[in-house]
Amino acid sequence: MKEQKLTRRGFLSLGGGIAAMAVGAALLPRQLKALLQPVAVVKADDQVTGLAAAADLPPNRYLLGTDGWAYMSPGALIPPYHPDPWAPPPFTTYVFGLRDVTGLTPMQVEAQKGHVQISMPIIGINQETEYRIKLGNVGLLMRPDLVDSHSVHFHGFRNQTAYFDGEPMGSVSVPIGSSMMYYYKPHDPGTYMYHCHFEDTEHVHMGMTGVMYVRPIQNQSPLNPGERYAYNDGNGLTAYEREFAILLTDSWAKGHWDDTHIQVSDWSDFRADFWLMNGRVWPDTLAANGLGTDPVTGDLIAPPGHPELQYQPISSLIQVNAGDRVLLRLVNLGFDLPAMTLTGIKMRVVGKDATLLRGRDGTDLSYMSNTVFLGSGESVDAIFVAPPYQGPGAYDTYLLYNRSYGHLHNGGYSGYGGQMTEVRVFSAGTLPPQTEPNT
Amino acid sequence: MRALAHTLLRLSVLMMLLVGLMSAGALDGGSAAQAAPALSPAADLAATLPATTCTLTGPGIRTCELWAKAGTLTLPGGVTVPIWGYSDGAAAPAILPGPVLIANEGETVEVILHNDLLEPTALAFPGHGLRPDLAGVLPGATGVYTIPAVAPGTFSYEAELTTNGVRQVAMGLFGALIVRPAGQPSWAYDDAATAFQDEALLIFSEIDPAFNNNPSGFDLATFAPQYWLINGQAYPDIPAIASTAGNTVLLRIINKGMTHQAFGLLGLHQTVVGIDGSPVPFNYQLVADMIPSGQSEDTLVAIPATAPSGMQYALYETGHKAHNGAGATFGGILTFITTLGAPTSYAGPLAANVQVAPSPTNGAAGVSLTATIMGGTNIVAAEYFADTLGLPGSGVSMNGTWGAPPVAVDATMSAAALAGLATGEHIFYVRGYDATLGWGPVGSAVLNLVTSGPMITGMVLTPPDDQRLRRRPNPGHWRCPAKWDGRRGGCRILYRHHRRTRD
Amino acid sequence: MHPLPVLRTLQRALMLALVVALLTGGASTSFGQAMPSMPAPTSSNLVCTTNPSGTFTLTAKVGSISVPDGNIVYMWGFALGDGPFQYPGPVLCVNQGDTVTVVLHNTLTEDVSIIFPGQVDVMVDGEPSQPVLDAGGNLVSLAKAAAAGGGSVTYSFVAREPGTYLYQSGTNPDKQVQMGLAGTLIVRPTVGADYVYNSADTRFKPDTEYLLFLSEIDPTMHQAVEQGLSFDMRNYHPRYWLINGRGFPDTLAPNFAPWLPNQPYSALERIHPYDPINNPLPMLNRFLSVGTFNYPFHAHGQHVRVIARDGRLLKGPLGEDLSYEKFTVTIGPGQTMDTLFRWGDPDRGIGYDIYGHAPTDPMLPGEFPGDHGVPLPVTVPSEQDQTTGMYYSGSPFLGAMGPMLPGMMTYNQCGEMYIIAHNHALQQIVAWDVTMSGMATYIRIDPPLPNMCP
Repeated sequence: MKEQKLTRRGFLSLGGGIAAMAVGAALLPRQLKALLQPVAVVKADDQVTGLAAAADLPPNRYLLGTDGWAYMSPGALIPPYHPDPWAPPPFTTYVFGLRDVTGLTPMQVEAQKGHVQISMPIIGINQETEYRIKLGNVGLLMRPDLVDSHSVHFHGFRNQTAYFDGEPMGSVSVPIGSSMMYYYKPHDPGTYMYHCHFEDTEHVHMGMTGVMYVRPIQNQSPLNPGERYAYNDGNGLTAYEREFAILLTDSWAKGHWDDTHIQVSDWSDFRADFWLMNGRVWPDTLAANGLGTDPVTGDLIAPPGHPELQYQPISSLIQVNAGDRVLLRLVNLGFDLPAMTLTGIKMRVVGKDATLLRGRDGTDLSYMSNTVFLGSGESVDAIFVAPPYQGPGAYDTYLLYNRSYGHLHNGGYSGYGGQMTEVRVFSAGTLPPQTEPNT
Repeated sequence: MRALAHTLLRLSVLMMLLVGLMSAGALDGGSAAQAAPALSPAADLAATLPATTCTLTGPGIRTCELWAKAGTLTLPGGVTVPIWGYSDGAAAPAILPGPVLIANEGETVEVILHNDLLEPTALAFPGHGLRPDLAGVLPGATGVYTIPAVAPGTFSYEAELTTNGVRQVAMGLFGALIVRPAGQPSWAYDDAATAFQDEALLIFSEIDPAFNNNPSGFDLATFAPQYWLINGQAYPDIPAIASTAGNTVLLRIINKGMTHQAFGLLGLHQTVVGIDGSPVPFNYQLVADMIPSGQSEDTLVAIPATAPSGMQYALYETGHKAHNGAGATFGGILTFITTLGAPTSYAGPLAANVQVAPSPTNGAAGVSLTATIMGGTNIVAAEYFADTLGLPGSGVSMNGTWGAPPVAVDATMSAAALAGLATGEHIFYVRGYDATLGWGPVGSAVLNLVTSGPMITGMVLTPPDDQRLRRRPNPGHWRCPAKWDGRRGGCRILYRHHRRTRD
Repeated sequence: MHPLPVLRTLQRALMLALVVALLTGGASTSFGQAMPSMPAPTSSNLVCTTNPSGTFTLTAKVGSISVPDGNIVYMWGFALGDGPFQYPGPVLCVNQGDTVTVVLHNTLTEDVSIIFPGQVDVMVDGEPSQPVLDAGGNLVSLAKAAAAGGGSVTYSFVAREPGTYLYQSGTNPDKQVQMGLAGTLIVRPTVGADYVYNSADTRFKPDTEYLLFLSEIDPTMHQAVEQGLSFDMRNYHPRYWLINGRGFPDTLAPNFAPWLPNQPYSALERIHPYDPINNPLPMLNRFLSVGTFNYPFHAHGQHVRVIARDGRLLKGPLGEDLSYEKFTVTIGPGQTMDTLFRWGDPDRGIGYDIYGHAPTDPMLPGEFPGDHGVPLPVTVPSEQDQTTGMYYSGSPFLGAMGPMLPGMMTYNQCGEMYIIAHNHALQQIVAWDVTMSGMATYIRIDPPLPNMCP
């Protein structure tokens, strides 16, 4: 008998219900409780009326939750799951995600249903600057039966309140057809991540993951003109010329196929088949960035020569000049643990989880390593200095790859795949200064 | 200096053998401990690392030669699997791990690679500033890799990421590269705080025999290790790490496996001093360590000067994978740091074979508590406690035929005494007292006292309950908005979505 | 017409009905269960088992636990003396320098021993605790065992260093520790029980000390053991991931919850906002793992500060502070970790008044003055345009409760915030095929005292 179904999973009311009863003394109805509260209690409605000016500030970023299709290694056959037989060519895999629809017209926004991007856009924001994200939910094109809401969890944001934390059981989330504004005023620079937390096992696995980072205020008063930093280090330890954000995730072919084909996954059977950097598997990690958004349709423009990567627009190719200080913002939202290794070049690990590696008494805790090991939900900031160019050829090639070799392949097939990219070192002065990460 | 140390070690090992044999007959019957296993000197992990290897071919230039070839590896239980490994001679067999390359700080290390495989291969030297050789050396050809001015630390070499590089590493193409600080072969780094007296190289790896038998076609996503190895061996084949009280042991740990590895040390802490061949800015101590795939680590283990003789400190896998294949006994990544001499054995009074009868009982006939005091030389007293273990000497005296062990002791509790105890389980503790050595450790027994209600004995369930783990299937007429709950036979709801209604 | 007043009336009617039902005691929840009368809640703080002479008796025995998908799992575990079965084993709390004596009494059908990772010079029956070999020189146990069917051994050691440690079986540990034979040993420093180590910067708020004992279960393996069948560990496949032997939401139930008789330890972490005057001390989390996987444990709402690993304070030789902050800590098999956590930022604020004050309202302790009275900088969607969770208060403000849709159930009591803390390997926050379960718990942040919280 084919088990469910179109509707969502359950929650364990018995344990939770009685637990809640017992956690409190008498369970007063909430209305009665509210009557007993101090006068200072404010209801959300009252807030709205007096706040016209502040509450109506436009969002810095408008993100739309929906579904779509992605491409990964169609030759790695995993019948019947991969490539997904219902995927429109050239795509292989059903995904969820967020699209950046900032500035699109409402009609264009609606048209992005089913046109999601993985990984989600890299968002960089400035310390001490207010930032608003509007999250919209237009539903899932392939699954009109699913009434999933979405949320944004800014993973690692300090002193966050439940309302803006995006964890749906303790907070709110956005149903289909609605939207909600998230507000952040970050005080702590570093590399974070953001992801949907609604039924997070499924939504994160399906692709609703992205890199968020906060630039330090030291960038506004640099020690050397034009210098940029990862942290307010006070001494330039975390200065860099180029930065690359690498989001590491993994993909279980059956898990994605289940969502297309209206099945429920037993997550205790999870076993990844593909491992991704910024939403792509090797060798697609080397392809260029997508070319932004089409001004007429609002849809994404594929990287040149790679129509199959239209919905995976973020490149992981690392191109640097000799002598450049290069910041790697490594973030893991997969379920496995990659051991990210940079052959031939030692990195200085300067930060972990958006925190400068420095004791409370100023002790420098940064260290040199070739391998960075990331549990799920961890981030690492590592800086390497590009070695001298040796040639011959336009550039020297080094590799950044996952040394957990059980995972450095596409679907188990020969050759390597998965979480690998190249670091290409050009002679000093070849490449122009970087203006955007991952370029 | 090292030669002297080695000689001393060999002598001590031989002495330990002798002492072990002599003391084997003096153990008490109540203890199951045995003498430390015999160690042949050549099989001592801590005695196998020479000062340097390879050949000095010029001032400050050390040349090593490796042949990449097919070979075999014998696993615990006698299973043989094909491997690809490095050897140090054209005719020598491949070994797993490959030959250890040991150089001195500042030297230029030149490695000549002969490819006797049927596909291209290359060498990678993590931790050194070499560009990866992604094209590799063709079958039958030779390549040379030059690492200038090496710095001290524990490093490794392995097959580089040519097209089939991952599978080549998984088949066994890896080894260690150790660089000793200039002038300080007994330091790990250029820091006196990293000095050691004994060192051991531990290279972790795994074997999935199904992969080794089909390296090109095997689906790597299904790689499931069956054996976990240190230096190509699994317990009980792994030699111990012989040291002595007061020594510091350097563990050079390299993980060349496909995934991370968890391991711990029992009875001692390990202090991490280096990672990937670079000293850490500050040392830190761990009981259970976890080393990612491909990483190397240097940890120091300081054995206290007061450590008893004949100690075996287990270095063991902590993630429940300490077995060989389907074996249920100890296997895999497991060895011991040992100290010289025979283990001390307890000579004092042990309370063995503690029994309380009858049990279960309703107490109407009282109970009898008996035990045998073994060990010591002159047992003169014994005591017992009911339920609460008190300080030695504060218990209820027992009767016994005092004198040389073994001494049988007993005590009775009358029905009246038992009446004061609640129904249920009660633990009785017994201690013996030796005239010279004093009170010994306790033995205990459980009394099942049923003072109310019927006693149930001999319960058997027919047929046996093998349906414990079941869900109640949805009979078909429950249409849940969320999910069927097999436990209670109803629907479970996580969220309530209010469907937006237009008015 | 604005639907809100109608909804409110409806809501009140439903609430009254619920109150009546509760008071008459015959109510059913919407899930078909009668509501039992509950005793007053005990706390969720770490429960210490102590003994004046440092002597403990652990009985290895058979038992079972309840997992959130409705199954019962056969277990082995250490019970305290002749007390009831429990998993994980009792938390033994001793003081630095104490001589600790542990008498192991074994009622199982296999030999069982105890090893104390992190302790030195452990003695068993008067001798140094050593691996036990059989006649052929093969290891049979990492320590001398208590024989099956009623045997006993006595271990003792001096607890020299403060910290959080494991104790676990050393006999066939791959199997026995997985079956449940493991527990926690806490050594308190000489400076005082409200410090983690002998260092002033390890002080914590004593009633906010929480245990997070992380483990996993393969139910097929436990079933095989129950039926006396052999089990090939190569087929090991965990299905349940637990904190303190419980899966979410049982992790939120209090200590000694009657419906979890064999799983006595809660994982609900309750704190108040940080306030340098009234609430300056952080909460302490003691993590331990007996799993097979590196658990990446992620707390929302704040970083944790890792101050010690495996019972060793992170301090340099000259007292340098080597502690570090993480939003996700990875605990490997056999490791322990001590972390401090506090929530609230009186120095920098968050950009708005988290209590929803008007500017003329009095300040609450720990408030950032610059946030006081600053309104929420966004528009809150109306109830119809939100999906709300079962722990949400209905209001974005701490200490406030707001209206929710009729029929929406919430466990929120007084406007507290529930901030989740969970394993971020998200396939492990499940109980077999039931999602939103497993290795997860909540940090409950109550509004500052005095408050209306029960």
